[in-house]
Amino acid sequence: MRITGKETFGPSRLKKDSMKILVCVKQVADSESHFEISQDGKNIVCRAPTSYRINSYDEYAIEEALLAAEGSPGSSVEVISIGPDRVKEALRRALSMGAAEAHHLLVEDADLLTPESRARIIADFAAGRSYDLIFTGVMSEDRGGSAVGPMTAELLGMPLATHVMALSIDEENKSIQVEREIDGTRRHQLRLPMPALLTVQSGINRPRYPSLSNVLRAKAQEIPGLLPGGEARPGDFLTRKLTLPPDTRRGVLLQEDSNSMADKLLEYLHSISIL
Amino acid sequence: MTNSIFIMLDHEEGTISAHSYELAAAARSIAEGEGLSIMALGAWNDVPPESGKFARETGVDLIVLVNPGLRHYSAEAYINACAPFFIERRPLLVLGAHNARGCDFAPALALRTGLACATGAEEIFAEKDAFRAVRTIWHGKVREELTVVKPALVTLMPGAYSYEKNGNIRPGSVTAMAIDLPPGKTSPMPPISTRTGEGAGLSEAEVVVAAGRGVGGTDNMALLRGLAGLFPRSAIGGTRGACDMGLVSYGAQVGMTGRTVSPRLYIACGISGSAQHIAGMKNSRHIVPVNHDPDAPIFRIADIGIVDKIERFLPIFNEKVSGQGKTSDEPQK
Repeated sequence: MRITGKETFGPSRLKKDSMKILVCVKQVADSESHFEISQDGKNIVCRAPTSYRINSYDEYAIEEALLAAEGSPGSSVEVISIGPDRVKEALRRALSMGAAEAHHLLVEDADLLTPESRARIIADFAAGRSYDLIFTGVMSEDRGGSAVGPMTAELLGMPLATHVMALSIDEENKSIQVEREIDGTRRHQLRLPMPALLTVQSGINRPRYPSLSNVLRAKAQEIPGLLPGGEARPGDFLTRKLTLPPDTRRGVLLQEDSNSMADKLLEYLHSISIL
Repeated sequence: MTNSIFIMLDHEEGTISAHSYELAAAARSIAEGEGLSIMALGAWNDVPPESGKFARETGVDLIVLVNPGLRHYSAEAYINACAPFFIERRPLLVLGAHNARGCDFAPALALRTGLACATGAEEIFAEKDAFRAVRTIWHGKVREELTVVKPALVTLMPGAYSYEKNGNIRPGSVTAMAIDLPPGKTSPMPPISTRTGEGAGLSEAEVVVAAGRGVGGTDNMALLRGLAGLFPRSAIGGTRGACDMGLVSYGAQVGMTGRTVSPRLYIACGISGSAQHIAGMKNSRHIVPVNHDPDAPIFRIADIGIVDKIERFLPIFNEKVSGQGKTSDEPQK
């Protein structure tokens, strides 16, 4: 399978010095929502369609892309997501934040895609479209693998930085300087030429709320479903089984009135000589 | 494919992390009974100063790829250095650290070297044609078992395996191997220190009071500070989510991309218990979560769990303790 419709898009650069930016977003099941594990043990299933929302880490990526675009007039931000029809809602959220264009790569059982398969689909889509920057969140809230971004960079031959906490763009040199967060006290600094791929750490910015005019535009905007290209290598990894984690609790769970729980906690802290 | 397991030495510039020792422990647990050899691979502009100690204590032979271009880290240079090595050595399994370094280079390194890749595992076992990896996903609510075909690269969560010093082990060797490096696109620069003061008391604290998203807002932080104030050697920490909400500074973050703590008492307030947070606090001696959601995964590792709202429980508890007049010392932090 190859991507169709690649040729229907215009020239890569809107004008000199403007940037073409792609943000990869994932739709995830809200962890607060009611869920079941599918009978074959391979999937998390949420019955209510409202249980799905955009991966919060990707909202930071969208915001960073919008900030970058606003700094270089004429730049545009596009978003891409892989999944069944419902992921259009995540794309609409991105449009309502200010992205100009959304691409939906239609895969019904996307939860079973490995990170490598996802990366191959995105790389196949992005190849030849001359993006200057590709952003995504540092991880997904559901699988938390942090692998799709780095693998996409590898497939596209782009320099990569993950866990980005600060970013400045030098348009003249077509390069970016980033700070990567290593832990609470240390950051790596790198300069990368564009095009480059960055995964964005939460807290780098404050993702904006959608504006009314963008919400109206996003509602009306067509989001065509594209067929994915990019073949994954057979093998890789397979989800064998999802289960609820075992209860390894060593102690007790108190669920009674606050006053008696406070007494019991106090008693416990006495028993371990902390109070 | 050979019968070797390679550990990616986890080092920040020349400092070898505790995580490297955990990877050695994990490799040993897999190699046992399978007849597999274990080696470690590092890449820097020199042999890290504590390489000898690492090889001696873990019994693992360490190879360090050396090139001046590896002085400061970049994914590009690191992968360019390590990929040819693995393509030539054809390991059965490569183990990496699931942190801001390992997550950066490992997935791309796996692709380039033809290794299947699974990230963020907490347990790994060898089977006939594949490895079985186990990890916790979806904010700690679901356990996922994976089949990872051989040969594979797997990153392990911090704290997933614990290293114990073994005096009887045959010391490993350290070999420096000068390599050529193709010119890279990325220019790494010296790392910078940030917010050194904040959260500095966390590692020495006897009691850590930690905030999660469930704390709700800055108003409720006063309750947490009041609670911490009841204990003489206490500190306030928080989850990534709490830092993002501005409840706690990033320097006081506990978890995969923050600090790892093991106090005598860890009071987790409004914390659901994602794998990333648990990795930073699970070795605390006593764990007491306070959360209104009885299904919060953090309760699975609790010694005593309080199902209640922060704003209801803490005022009552704080009042009871201060009413006792038992504590007189001021908190340190």
